[in-house]
Amino acid sequence: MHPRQTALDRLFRDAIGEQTVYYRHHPGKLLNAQHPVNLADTPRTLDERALIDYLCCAFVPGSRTMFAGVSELRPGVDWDGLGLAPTDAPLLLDSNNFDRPLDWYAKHLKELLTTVISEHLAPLAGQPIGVFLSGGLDSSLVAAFVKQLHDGDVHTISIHFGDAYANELEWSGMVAEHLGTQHHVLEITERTIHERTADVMGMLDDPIGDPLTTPNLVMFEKAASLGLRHIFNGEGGDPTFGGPKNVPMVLHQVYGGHTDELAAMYFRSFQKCFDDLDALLNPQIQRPGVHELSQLLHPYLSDDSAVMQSFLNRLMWMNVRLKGADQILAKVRDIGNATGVQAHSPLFDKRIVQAGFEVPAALKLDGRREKAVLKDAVKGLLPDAVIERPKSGMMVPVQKWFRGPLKPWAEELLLGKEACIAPYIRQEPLRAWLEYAPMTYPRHGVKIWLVLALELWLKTHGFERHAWPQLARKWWTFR
Amino acid sequence: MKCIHCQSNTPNKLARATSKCSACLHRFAFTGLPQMDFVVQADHKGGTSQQRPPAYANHIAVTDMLFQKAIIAVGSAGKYSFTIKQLYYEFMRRLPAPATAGCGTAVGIIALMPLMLAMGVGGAGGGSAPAKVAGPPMSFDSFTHYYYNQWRRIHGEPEGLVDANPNTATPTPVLPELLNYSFDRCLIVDNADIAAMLVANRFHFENNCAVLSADGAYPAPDRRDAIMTMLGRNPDLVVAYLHDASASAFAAAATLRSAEWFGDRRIWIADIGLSPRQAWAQKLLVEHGEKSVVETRLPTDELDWLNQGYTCSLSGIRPAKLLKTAYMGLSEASKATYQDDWDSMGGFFLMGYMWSPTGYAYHDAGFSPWMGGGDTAAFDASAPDSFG
Repeated sequence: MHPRQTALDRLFRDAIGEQTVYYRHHPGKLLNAQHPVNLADTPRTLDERALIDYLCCAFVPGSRTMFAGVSELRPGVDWDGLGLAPTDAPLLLDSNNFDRPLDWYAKHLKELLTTVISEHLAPLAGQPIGVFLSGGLDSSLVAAFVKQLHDGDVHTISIHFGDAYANELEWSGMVAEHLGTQHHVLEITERTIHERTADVMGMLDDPIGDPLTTPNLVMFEKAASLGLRHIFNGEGGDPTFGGPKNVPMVLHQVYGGHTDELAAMYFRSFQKCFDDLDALLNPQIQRPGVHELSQLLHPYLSDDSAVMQSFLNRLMWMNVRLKGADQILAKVRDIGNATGVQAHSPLFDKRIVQAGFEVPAALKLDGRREKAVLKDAVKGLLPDAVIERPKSGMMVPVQKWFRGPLKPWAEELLLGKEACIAPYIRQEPLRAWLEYAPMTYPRHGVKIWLVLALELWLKTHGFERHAWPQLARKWWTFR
Repeated sequence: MKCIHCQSNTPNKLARATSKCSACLHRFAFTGLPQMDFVVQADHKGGTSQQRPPAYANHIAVTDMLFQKAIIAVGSAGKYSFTIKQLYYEFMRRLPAPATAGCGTAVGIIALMPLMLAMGVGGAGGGSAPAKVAGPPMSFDSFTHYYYNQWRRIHGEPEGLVDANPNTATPTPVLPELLNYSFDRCLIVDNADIAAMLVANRFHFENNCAVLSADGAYPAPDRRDAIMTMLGRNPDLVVAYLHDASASAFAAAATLRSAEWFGDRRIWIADIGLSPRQAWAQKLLVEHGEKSVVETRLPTDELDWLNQGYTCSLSGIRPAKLLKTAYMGLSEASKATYQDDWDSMGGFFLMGYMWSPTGYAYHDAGFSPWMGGGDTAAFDASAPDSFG
């Protein structure tokens, strides 16, 4: 899409953030485009605050982007281009649905899922469809609905990381067999990571430091090679129905943690580099204070509508708005666009998200039985073992890979003379991570990946460092 | 004498006369002279006795730099919060060990005789009981009274010190809606200040884990009740018990089986505490208290050592190592698959020893977070992100 160079009437983005709108102020007009690189003359200047947010979260949350001066319209926002763009749009809920029994919510959700997935499938009748199947609850239930409602072939695609590492193939295999789909299993090796990560980083509008991006690319390409033009996934189940990511924040509250620290704890909960910033950043880069950090979360924490009185709902709302729109949906959208396969994330449909927020906290989570409503809604569609299995995230073995086969690659990229991160990130901590110097919690791999993804993203988005112009500038100053 | 503020040297005589740095005029907390008229020393009967230092023979020349180095070391240069007890043990490590001469030594050697014999016969490997138990150079009370308080008067409270009474500092109540939640894991610590230190260092936050003290003192009662309610909702709870190497800590383990903890639920508790052998191997500071009679399934030499009244505190370990050890112990406990037969103790491989209602089982070849060499990098943890 070409940028609009004229003054605009309105900018609008969909409710949950499946699509994007980027904008930049230009003398006399507001430019907008679907991708920041499409905005005319987008300067390749790094937004240092966005860099800090990325190092904390592994994505760039909120309206900032890595390109200084370019902003992203927040989901659901309708803006006339005057003044500052709104930072958030409220979720519209039906208060009649706030106090119902579990059975009602389960039935209501089942009906909604049927409606939503049918709508997605209606124009695709007869076409082969793919589902990314991890073997967890969310992707399994989407696969079950798609298989039930679609009248064409259904392919399921799963991944593993080789025999040396734990995998979920047993579960995904069980679901595929139960549903009778054409099942494909892909092996992602360190070689795949080495060869394809630069490609996937080149596809993303903003960097994403989650190691699953490269496996996702391989899955999309497999779908394309099978002739599939549409894939479905289970993204969205966690942020909307109270997945395990909230537990650290809940513990913080239970142990009397101060509300002022909430923003810092939210950044910490990503288990990336929040506590490494001082060691990691070059001294000339300004660190944000507590107040500045809180700004990002302010729209969610200050929302005092009835449903957001609940601490849990506020956490989930932050997850939907930030991680959902800026990482999960951004990732599948950008990779999908680049590979010519459209990704459908029905659990991120506005109606499903609304239904998730209407469920009272007590029913969202029954002890450690997470997503209780979702589980009850899909009873009978999937084997009970799959529905009641404990949550286990997909583990990419980066901790072992960077210790062994991928170490030289990471060293060359991060410590090399032409590293794009060099003006911002100091080498000593990177060297210590690459040497696997003792760390309280062994997170060397994810941290190396975070910076390596950033480096590759900068390289593929025109932020390369050229030694020569800098030398010339120095010479000029000296003269 | 070196000033901790400007790093400049003041001649010792001048420093002692003025108690001030000659360059920046900041006050010295210590000038290398004794802080007391009488050195208060721990005697080996558990109490303290006052005795005049024999012509400074045993005198400790404490300076501000020495004390500051202890603060920096215990908190890994400001990275971790620590308890005053941990600072005490760190400080003790920097002082020369007291002379073990005269009557005390004779008693010590006699007391250790059967232990050494037992070791020779048993030969379970992995460290042996120290031949001499010197005890700390000064008691904890002397440390706080003469050294810590003096430091605080001059330089203020060290940064990172865990509040001595953490329960008063957290008035925010637990939100009722959160009681529907539960946690995957629970770490029970035998003393409250170590539990508070772990929470101050966000162990609970990083490990998705409730932290409670075995004596019920931490956290405060209302918060504790809320946490116990939440823990009650998880049928697959992983519980680990972290404790000192002392007879009382091993005896306290039995109370965790009482109804007030987990009722009649069949929840295995992994013992990731410090065993005597592990304490010996790490050459931790050993103290001596009351003799006792504890029955556990530890090897005889370790059991004898405990029953002689020897103890070794977790506070003697720096927060960085303690956090890492607790993390590794909990990770192993989470991975373990327990036998279905609750009453049988056979076949355990976890963490050196385990306990059940029937007592301790000891398996020497098992994993122990303390013996693991501290190489957490060997554990594989990557981004727990799912793709739905």
